[in-house]
Amino acid sequence: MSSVTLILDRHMNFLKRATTSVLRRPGKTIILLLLVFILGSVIAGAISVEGAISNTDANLRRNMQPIMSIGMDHEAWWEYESTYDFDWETTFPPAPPILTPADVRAIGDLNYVTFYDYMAMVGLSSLDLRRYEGEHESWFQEGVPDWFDLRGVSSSSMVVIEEGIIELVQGRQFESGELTPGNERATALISVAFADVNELAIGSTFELYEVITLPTDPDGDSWIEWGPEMFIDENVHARVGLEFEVVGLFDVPLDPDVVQHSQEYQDRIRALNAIYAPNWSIEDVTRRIAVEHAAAWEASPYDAPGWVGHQLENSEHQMRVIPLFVLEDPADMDHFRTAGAHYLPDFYQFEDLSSAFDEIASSMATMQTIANWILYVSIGATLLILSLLITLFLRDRRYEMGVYLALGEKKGKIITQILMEVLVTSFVAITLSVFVGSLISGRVSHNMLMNELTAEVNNDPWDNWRHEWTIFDEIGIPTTSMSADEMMAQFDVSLGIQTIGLFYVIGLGAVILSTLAPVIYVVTLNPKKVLM
Amino acid sequence: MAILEVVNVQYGFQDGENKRVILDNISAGFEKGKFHAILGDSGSGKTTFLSLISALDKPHGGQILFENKDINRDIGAEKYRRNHIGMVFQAYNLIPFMTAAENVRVAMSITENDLPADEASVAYNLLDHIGITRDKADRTVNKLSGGEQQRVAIARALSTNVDLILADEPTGNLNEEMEAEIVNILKNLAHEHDKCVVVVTHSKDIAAQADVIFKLKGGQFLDE
Repeated sequence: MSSVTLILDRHMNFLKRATTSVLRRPGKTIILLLLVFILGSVIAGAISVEGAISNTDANLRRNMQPIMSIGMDHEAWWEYESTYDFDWETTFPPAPPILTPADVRAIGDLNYVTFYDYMAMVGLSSLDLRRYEGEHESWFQEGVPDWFDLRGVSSSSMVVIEEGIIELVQGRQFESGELTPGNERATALISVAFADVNELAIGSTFELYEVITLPTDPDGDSWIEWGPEMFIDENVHARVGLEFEVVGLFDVPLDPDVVQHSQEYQDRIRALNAIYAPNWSIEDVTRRIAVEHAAAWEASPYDAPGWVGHQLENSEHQMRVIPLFVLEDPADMDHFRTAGAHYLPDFYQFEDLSSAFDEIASSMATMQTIANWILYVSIGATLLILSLLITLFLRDRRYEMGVYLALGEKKGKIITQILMEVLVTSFVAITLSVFVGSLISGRVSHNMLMNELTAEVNNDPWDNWRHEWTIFDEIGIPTTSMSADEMMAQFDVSLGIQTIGLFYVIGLGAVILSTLAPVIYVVTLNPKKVLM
Repeated sequence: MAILEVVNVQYGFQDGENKRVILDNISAGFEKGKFHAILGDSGSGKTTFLSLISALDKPHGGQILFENKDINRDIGAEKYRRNHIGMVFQAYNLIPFMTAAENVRVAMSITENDLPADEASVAYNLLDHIGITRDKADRTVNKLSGGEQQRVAIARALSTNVDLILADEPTGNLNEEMEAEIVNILKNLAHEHDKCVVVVTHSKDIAAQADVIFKLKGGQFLDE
């Protein structure tokens, strides 16, 4: 026999009185048990919905590709910029900070990163090459250059190929010697579609350049309109470019479900017109373009207007640096953010692929709001109803309480006895409600979430269009790859120890609070009035 | 020598604009081994008197001394009730969902007096001594007769090994036969067990059996 049992058995103390009261007054015990069970089930339901949302979010993140990038926090920048007073003639907005290859290398050296690369991106043109437009009508205009995205590579093992975003179908990737500065000619990977349109093949060469037109009088009206005339020799100061040799041909995998005019279709066209080249070539051509821009204004009889001077000072902004970091484990993403934040320029932030489940996140947020309200209301109802019920029960037991007081029992022990009685009964009720509440709410919340998600998809006329353009879209990594069913497959209502613990804390906490108000009755009870 | 002394005790209350005096500067002494009766009509203040000597209420003037210590100031009302007195009420005031033995054991678990370790055996013996068999001792009290319930109440009062037993109209709800039995038990406690028994009653028959009678009228004890 344990010492606790001995104490309970040998002394009719407040603990024994509490258990005797619970067992010998089954009617009141059952009423209390049922009430706590019903209210507890509602609270358990709300908490299990919270837990399910948290689990689901964690599952989605676990299944997310551990790829991260760095993009500008435009909202923060615009807010900062709006504090400046400028008129674009004499005063100009501040230049945004630049993410440099050196920043990327420092972050890429962090332990969490298994592989990293960056793309120096710039747009260059050609009068001879044509874009691949797929089934769409070409916008090509004779004498006007087409523009192409140059995407830099610094590793002989390209992330976009590693991740299956493009497939190398002919030729090879870059050799390490081609990726370091000092080569006369840059090598390039182009798509099969782009090669076909322009009759290019492995070993072919082509040139891309920036046409720097002669400056015109900023105060006059001699502007040349956009069109072929702008690019004839007499209006051109220089063509700054680079010759590329094709070493590899790639294709972008085609999803058979993708329909024309959809966002995914446009993304693929864009990806097929991308030209991959060593980063050094892009950085080099960007520097030379800036120098020639400045030289063109230097040689002209006009003073560069303020906005041009401003552009010249910030010529590096013509090039964007988009890094990609492949982490070992999706669970490391938060640690990586924290560790990498030290190296980030101001107004830049880490980005991940979480926009893939924006829809479910929105539905989950709605459900979380509902669950929160249910939780608050049910806790309030528990406090109110239990307080009233316990007060009524205590009034009914005023003779018993009076006897304890007349016998000289300490008020603290009487209060503890009442608290024990309520807690023992409530503990049983709460334990039952954990399972019942989470079972019911699991089913209800699953259906609610599925309906929300389906409604969101059905009500969205831009179903095939992405709502938010992310940095990953720029480099062709798909972010809308999860269907509603796939998302729902991650829905997990299983209760963790923490969730169950939280429920017991909230449930028993509410019960204790509900008991505290009625025990004031005991404190103020006058045994003389009750017993004599 | 008095174990309990009431010295110049006053008690009253405000009734509208009038001050009603219930107990007017009364004094008395109560000794061990004697059966005392406080006799008075309804409204005479005898229940108020009992509530004061049982520390369920405080006097507005004067002192109540137990073994020469003020029960409210020196001992403390709660502790005085816990360790120095046993009470018997007209309406028994037992805890209805507990057995007779458990009702006795409640008082034993509350007191700080030295008692034998085996609480249950003591309770059964006490109840048996006072006429409640083991079989009845294990019944919930609402299944016992009025007389039996009052015996349980007396056993509860005795169980804490106190010297002072206070009873408020202990036979008020009982028939004559039961009344005689209960009075005998109380007398026996005083005479055989050296307890100081104070019974508040309106019954002259009961008072007639007391060793000492205090007649209460108009808030004062009349000379007896």
